[in-house]
Amino acid sequence: ERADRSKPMSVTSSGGNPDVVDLKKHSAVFIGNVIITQGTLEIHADRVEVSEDPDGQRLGFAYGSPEHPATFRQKRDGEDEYSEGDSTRIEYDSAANRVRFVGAAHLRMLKGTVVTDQANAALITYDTATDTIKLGSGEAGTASSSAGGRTTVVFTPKAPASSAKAPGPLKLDTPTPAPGSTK
Amino acid sequence: QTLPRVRTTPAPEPAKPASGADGAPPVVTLTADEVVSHIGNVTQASGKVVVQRLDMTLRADLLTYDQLSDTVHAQGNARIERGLDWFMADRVDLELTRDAGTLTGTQYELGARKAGGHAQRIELIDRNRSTAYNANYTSCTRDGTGDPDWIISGDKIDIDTSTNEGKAQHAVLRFLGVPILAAPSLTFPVTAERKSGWLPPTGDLSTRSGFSISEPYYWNIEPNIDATLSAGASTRRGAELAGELRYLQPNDLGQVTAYLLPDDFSENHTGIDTTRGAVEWAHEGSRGDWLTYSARLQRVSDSAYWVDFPNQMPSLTQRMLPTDLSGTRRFLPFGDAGEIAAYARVERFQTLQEPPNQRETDGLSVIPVPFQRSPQIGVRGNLTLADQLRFDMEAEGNRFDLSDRPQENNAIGRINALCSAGSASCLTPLDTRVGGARAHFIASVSRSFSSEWGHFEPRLAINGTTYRSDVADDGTRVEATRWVPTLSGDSSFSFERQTDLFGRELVQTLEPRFLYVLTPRRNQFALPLYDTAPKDFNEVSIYSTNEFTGNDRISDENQLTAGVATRYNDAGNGRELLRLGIAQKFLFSKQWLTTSNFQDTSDQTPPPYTRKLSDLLLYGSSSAMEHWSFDGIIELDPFRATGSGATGSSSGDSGSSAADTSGGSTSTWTVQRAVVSARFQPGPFKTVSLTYRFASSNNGSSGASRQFEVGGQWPVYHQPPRANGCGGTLYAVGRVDYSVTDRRATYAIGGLEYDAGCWIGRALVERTSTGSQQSTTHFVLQLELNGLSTLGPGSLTLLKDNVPGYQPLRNDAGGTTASPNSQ
Amino acid sequence: CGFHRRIAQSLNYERIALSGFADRSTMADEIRRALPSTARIAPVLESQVMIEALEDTQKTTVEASTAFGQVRELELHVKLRYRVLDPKGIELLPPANIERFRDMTFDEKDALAKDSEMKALYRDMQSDMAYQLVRVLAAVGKPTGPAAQAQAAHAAAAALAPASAASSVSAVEWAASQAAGR
Repeated sequence: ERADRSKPMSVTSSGGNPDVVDLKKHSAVFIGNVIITQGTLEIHADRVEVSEDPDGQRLGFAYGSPEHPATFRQKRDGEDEYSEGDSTRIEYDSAANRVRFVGAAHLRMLKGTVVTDQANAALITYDTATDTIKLGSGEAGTASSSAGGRTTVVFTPKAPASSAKAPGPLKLDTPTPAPGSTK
Repeated sequence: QTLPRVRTTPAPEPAKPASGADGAPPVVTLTADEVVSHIGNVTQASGKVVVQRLDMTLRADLLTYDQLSDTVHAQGNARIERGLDWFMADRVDLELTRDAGTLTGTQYELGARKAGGHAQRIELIDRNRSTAYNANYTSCTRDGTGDPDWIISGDKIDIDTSTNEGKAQHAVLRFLGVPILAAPSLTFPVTAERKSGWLPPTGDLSTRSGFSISEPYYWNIEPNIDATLSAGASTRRGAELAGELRYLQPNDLGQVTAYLLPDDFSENHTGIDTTRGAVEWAHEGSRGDWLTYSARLQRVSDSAYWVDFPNQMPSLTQRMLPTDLSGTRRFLPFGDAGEIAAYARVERFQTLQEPPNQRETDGLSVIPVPFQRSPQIGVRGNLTLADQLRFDMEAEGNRFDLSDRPQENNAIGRINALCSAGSASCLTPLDTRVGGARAHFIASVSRSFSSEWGHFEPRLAINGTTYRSDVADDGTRVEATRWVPTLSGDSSFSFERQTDLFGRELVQTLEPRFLYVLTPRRNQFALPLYDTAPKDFNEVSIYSTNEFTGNDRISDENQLTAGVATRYNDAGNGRELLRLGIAQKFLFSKQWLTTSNFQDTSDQTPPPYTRKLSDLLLYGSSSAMEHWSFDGIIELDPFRATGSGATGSSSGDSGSSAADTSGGSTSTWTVQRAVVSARFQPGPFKTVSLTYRFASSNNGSSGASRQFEVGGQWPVYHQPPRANGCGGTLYAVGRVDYSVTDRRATYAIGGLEYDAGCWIGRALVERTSTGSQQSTTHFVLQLELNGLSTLGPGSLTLLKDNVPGYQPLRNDAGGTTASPNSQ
Repeated sequence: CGFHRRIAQSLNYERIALSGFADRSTMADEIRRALPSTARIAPVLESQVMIEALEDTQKTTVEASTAFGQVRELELHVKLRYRVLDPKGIELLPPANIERFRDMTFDEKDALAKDSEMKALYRDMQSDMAYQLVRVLAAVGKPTGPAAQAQAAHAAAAALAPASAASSVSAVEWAASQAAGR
């Protein structure tokens, strides 16, 4: 949820403690099936680099490999709705509430265990605050997961097709303004 | 003649499941270069966007999809593909769940008929229905270069693929740029099925009726009943109406056709009733395979009908129209060891004698009316016992009459009057025939001994026939009974050897066959001749026990027919390449009743046939050469001197005049009858056939006749479809029967068919001779727009029935046959 | 001169199915009669091989008529276009034609007699064609081994045009039943 931003972020790795700490840059590197958790957000990866910017917001870089991609899972505001994703590299910017999946990226929206929408692309940017995703071919050279390097999104229409009622008028819910960055 | 099958509408395709497999709403798959999606809400996609849902695919450069209302807005050469149809548009607004939406600036095609066009705007109403505004429709190539050969344009075109109807409002049909039809509303079929609607007009020009034009309407009453009604007029006869109804029930199928000329003003001065017309009905039915029945009825209003409207009636004999109702009931009391069939039939004829206004008075044009069976009732059975002992039985009663003759008597009366005056033109004998009743019983027992290489079947048959004729003009009546036993033995053998010819591995067979027939002599000259005529002399009749068909004459025989046939079969696939045969009869005693003296009604018995040998029969057929097939039959008389002076006539086989009993005449082989034909068919729509027919003068016909017949269908000009889309193939179709003896063409039909892919133009001229100096020439002009109209009856059957090997360019359903143009 | 008695015309099949023939086709009757004693006509479901008639027509055309429209010569034309399929629906013999032509004299006054002669001539031509067909069938190879797997039948089902004869089951079900290991 959006509330995750204000939750403490913890990072654990098989080694138990950070392997490289660079106090000057306030960054730490964890190696060996690392898990980042913050509220309902959870990221698993082989190697993670966490750093803190001057006004205290954390930036996480989770590196997986094409065979063993980094995975991401977070609960969404809707009741019993989750989002899951994986890619070779996941960048998490808790300040901007934005997750970037780079390289063979997959993102799935689930209701309970049923996948409602799913997207595959070379690069997916998921803004959990405004609940929008941008998919594209990403920087040159990043492998795409869908055929021909194109982006593919599969939607399941909200209004069940079988119901005879005409869908409601087009309502565009305006995204709630992103909360100011807490300091 | 096979009945035209009414095509039951093709079964509707199974309904596609509307939603996903487990009832979940169908997923929408979107693929693009760049996508920005507000989850559960609006998604923008750009760069070669493709949206797929069930069988619908939408492509565009730029597209937004709203998941809540399941609607798509697309711009930039958008293209929708749905089933067989596709639409291209500048802008598309589509509601996926209801398959509804609006397309602007569009081009569309309905795949079932490869027809479509442009439209300013198309409203998709649902899965099957759409409305195009300010649109046009054609099945010709629409690659934008030249304008298509024919096109319908209208303010509004409603298309409904479920009811298979396209309706154009304020429609104008242009052909090669010329508007040929404008109508407030014009409907046309959009799927392959048949569709009610106006068919393009057909024009017809004939020397007897002048120019006539008729507008047919095709009415698809029900899937298994349809009708074609046409109204028209001709310059010399006035209004002409025609209607054809076809029906197909589970056990019955048939067709009724009627023609009517309310007031034929070209005839009102010659005494023929001015209301003229014709009716034709053909029906076939069955109940399981134990009861079959059929009906065939053809009647015309007056005897000149066949001259004014040649080939309108389907009967092969234009001047003798049948009425034939028959039924057969089969029983299988002995399982598959035998069968019993009870049958009943009424067979009557309407014989059209030459019209009174015709000056022909010589007897040649008069047809002696054939006997009619009204009715014929009989039962036939056979039983085969275990050791191949077989019993056959037939018991039948017939009532023959000549009810059709009173009408004809005015012609015969005039001829008889001429005859009695002893003038030269008295060629036809006085027609003194009368009807009568006849009952006959035939029983036979036969035993067949057969192995792979040989077969022998002795048979003993007895034929009992009793007559009771009506009272003739001279007060006499024929009451007689005739019993004739026949003993026959048929044996055939077959030998084989491997051989090769022109380097091909062949298996040659040698099949000798011997048939001995012994039938005692019975005096039958006084018996009436109801359904009997000499059999043609061919390989079927030479190996039969009676030289006559029917029951009124059984030739006395003590003869052996010996012959041998050889076949060359391809050793690899067993196909027969060449077949040759030779056969002749050896007579062991004189034959009293022959096919040449059976009509002799003088008191003393005519002289018998005394020769020891019959005519020699040679026959053969071959399909050895690629695409060629040959056929031939030649009948040689070993004794007859050439020239028509020989007395008496041996019609066909063993008949000969008594004069040269001693065989003293020079034994030069003279050809009595010969038919040789060749066919060349290298591929579809390419066929030529040539037939030569010779019959010597003493072969029963009026004089030696030689006739050539050439016919076929051949593409004479092919132009690959050029940029402006009007390429096509021009076919020449035709047949000419040229009689060498009369030095004139007795029949000719010629035509040109131009197949331009999306339309066919046809021009035909047919010339049938209806008198020694008189003939009717009949032109037909016809336009068939592919996808707009299915062809009604008319000129197509004219070609199919008269041009050997003719293959229509389109099959009836309007679907394209393998015409080269459509590949 | 090298001729020897004809050895048995042994067909490699005992149960042959006919499909696609018109309802009361005399051609089908003649084929039934021409089969050697070792073979018989079987319903489609139990047959080892199927002869499918693509075209089974008899057509009579007027060849010669007098100047007064009286018919004097008729041409009788019989055509059988057939193909031979094995249980899996695979074509053992591609479509081929057997055709026979014959001429016959005619006279309107002998209409009744000429009608029965025409029937006899058609029957004779068809029995000769049936004889030729049996010879072609004898040249076709052995019946295939035990039933093929189901998906082969599925593929065959698509390839087969449904047979139109009312009596026989459509060829599609036939191929499927063969695969079911009958």
